[in-house]
Amino acid sequence: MIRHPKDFWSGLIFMAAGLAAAVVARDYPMGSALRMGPAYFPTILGALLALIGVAVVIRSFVTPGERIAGFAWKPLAYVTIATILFGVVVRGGGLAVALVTLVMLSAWASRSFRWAPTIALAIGLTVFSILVFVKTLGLTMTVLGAWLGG
Amino acid sequence: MTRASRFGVLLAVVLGLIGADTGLAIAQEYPSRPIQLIVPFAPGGGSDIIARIISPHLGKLLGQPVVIDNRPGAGATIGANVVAKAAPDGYTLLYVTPGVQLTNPYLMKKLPYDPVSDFAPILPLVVVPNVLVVHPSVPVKSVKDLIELARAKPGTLNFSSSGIGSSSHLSGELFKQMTATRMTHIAYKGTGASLQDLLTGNVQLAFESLNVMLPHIKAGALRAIAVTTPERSPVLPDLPPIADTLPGFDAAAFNYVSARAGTPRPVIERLNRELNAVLKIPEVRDRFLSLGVTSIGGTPEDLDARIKRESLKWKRVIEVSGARPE
Amino acid sequence: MDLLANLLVGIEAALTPLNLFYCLAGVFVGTLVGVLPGLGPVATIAMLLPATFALPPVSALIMLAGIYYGAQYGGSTTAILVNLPGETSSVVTALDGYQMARQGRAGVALATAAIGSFVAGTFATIVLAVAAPPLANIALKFGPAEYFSLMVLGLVASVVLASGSLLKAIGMIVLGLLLGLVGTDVQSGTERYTFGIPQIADGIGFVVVAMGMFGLGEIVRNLEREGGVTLLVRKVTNLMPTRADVKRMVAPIVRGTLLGSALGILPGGGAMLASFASYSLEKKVSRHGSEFGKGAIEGVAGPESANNAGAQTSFIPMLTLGIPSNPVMALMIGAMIIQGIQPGPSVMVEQPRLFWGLIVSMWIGNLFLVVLNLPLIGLWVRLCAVPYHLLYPAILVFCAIGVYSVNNTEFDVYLMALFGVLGYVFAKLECEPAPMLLGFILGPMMEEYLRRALLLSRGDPMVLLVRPISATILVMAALALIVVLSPAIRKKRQAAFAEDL
Repeated sequence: MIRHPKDFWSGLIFMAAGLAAAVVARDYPMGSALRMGPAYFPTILGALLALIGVAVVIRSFVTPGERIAGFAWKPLAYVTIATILFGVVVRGGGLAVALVTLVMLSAWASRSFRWAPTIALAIGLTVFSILVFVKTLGLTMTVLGAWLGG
Repeated sequence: MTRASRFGVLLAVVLGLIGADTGLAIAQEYPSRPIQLIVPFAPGGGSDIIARIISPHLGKLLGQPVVIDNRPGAGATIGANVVAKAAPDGYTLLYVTPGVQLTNPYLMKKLPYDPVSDFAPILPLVVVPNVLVVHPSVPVKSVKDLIELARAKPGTLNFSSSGIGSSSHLSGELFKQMTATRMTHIAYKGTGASLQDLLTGNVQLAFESLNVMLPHIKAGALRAIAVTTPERSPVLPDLPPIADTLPGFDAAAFNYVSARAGTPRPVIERLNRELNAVLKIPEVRDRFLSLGVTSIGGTPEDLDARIKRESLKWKRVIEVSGARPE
Repeated sequence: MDLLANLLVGIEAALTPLNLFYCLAGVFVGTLVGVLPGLGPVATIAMLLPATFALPPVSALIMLAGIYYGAQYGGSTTAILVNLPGETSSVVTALDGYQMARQGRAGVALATAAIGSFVAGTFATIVLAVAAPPLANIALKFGPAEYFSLMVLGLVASVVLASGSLLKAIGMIVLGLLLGLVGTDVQSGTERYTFGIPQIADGIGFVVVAMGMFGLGEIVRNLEREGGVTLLVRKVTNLMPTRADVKRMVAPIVRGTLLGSALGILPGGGAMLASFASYSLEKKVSRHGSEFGKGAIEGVAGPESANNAGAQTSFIPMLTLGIPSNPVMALMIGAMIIQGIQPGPSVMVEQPRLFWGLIVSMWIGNLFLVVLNLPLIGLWVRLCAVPYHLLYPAILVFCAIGVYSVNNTEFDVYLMALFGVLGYVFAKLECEPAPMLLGFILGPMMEEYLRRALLLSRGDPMVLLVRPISATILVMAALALIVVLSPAIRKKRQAAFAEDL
């Protein structure tokens, strides 16, 4: 029986990552210990990581530990999607649109979300960012992108 | 009308407007809005500095600002791809380094753009000469000495470079091929990283950028043997070209400006004219001189011919050297 | 005395109103970009470089240097307040600094960082003035073999960063090492683990991983805890360190300063190791070892001093040999070349005003930083009182802009989102991100140095043991390994005994 779920899953991730690394590395030239090719280091590290994974999994059957508390799906999804949308919008829509999207959407994740302060925050952060990043530090970012004719 | 078809009409109208707008923009006097110059390297690097020296002057002559947009990564491939996919209207220009068209096609498995047909040449800009330096402990004073030493002790000498496919790497490979000698190539992440092993003599020689090596030559930490260009450099006029010993040796980073293929001819001509004028401005010439780079200039046709010539040369060097990774 | 005469030249050069202004401007801009996560000194200096064409060389370099160490300084502020390490050096500051902030001791942590940095900066500046040329010669004793051994030592020390399971920490280090190998292999040009994506052909950016794992992951975790009690930070107690705090920070500051000054001299990655090394050392020697990771003041004082000392002494190889130790130094060399100055051994002789002026300005700049930042602490601490549901969208905004601006690519933003998910999952599984980040930094360097050492020795591994410095460091690494592993063994034995009873 799994007595330590956190360790069990960590070990499984290590095993998967290690094996994947070693398998993908087979596409690269291996070389030898004294004249290493690009595959040499990753193969050894991948194998090592997989071994550590095995050890962690075995330990999870022996040493007891806490169970994994439920995932906070809602905040995770909102924060992740908001960040991705920023990337999608920032070039075409411009910094202003991207920032308002990011702030509004990510703020939804909180239980304390209220419209008025969040809108104020979005506007405030957008103005601040344009002043600091674009005007003062001179980053090459468009404020209003081509989608809006800027 | 259904909602979908109404949307379709709206879309058609909008697209039509956009189309008409870009058509007008080209027909109008170029340029009517700021021009982007894509530099496919991080700010502060050699090509970025050169681009930033010319851009304000070019902007003044064109009457519109020239904005530098750094798109570094993947050996200039990312920046080049931006221009290859841009509208052919002359508002997105590329600061081209040898990787884009001359070497990457032979070094990389696949490129996201077509190195031959995606770009329209505008102007040959500068050549950044390399200098052949040796650690003072290496008992050679001339190219001839070095060839003799490399032949007497094959495989013992190391030369460093700022990375696979860099000008310093390919200069070394060309040297090896033309002299039929064996030397081990040691790659570094950039010239700065290679300096340490070169100054300590762990690596015996290098074909590196003249301007970076200059202070070490002057301080006696490295001994300069020759320059890699067919002509002497005004910065170190006493140094002979490698070509004096090895006729035909010519290896240096060649930088130029291109646009997306299909850019209207009048736009190309205007840009070529103004860029040639920029190269003649005394302030630009002084800055280039202090950087140790040689300005070229000429017509788009000159550039096209040079691209074809250099591309062929590096193709051969890369194939013979086996530098293409598996 | 020569030194006095030289310092007088430097004071004369640095104390002109113009240069004082540029020094202040530099440290101010530096603090600003340091505080803003993601936006580092490299991007800032690169963008300001063309503007320095028009300045006199001394002023230009004084300002650029100010940006560099100012940013190191500002970076720790963000690490402490919101757990966002924008620089490699502030990863370990985030470990205990953020915990202190959560306990209402943000002011103390910030003050500790300020005091430590100032002491370290002062000492390192003196080192720079007194012994730059002989120290530079030590740097030249380090070849690929020595650097490889140094990385091994760093890796062993990194195990100490973990506060939980040792085995899982080692797993995270190895995972970090592997992540660090993504990109084009330096020696062969082979693209590894890039799957044809050009945006990672040069590797995954540190900022992307750090912002994702620390920044985004932490935001989701805080939102998760939001439930009943919304108060994230316990009531702010005192702003300034108490006498007991000061007592505890003295020794770590001294050790961190010495360690950082020594490592900073090595251009091949020494300064980068300084803060990690100091943290590991403090955790091992401290009587409060069990408090580390839970808000130990030593975990802020030591690394912050080491980091700032290393930042100052990393000017030594640049100024005396012309070897850049990091991208910022490479840019400074670029700035000198543009100004018509040949960086390298001749700078000291041919440009005494520049050399000594820069050194004196560094001390003045450090003074400015303390004067500028101590009053700001009150303001920063009030930031902790901002309700979290208004604070985290702001953190996200700065992360997104910062990450996007590094390479001007939206791909990095997507990658950061991915690492955010990963950071959250790992947090759930109690796998710590700090050892992974160190592995991520060390991995590619370690491989590069080892392969280069073997290439230069034509495949003779004895090169690592024959060279005395390399051999010494490897012996130290072996000793460190024993020290690191021993408490685990002891603990296990104790646990076994406990079960017997």
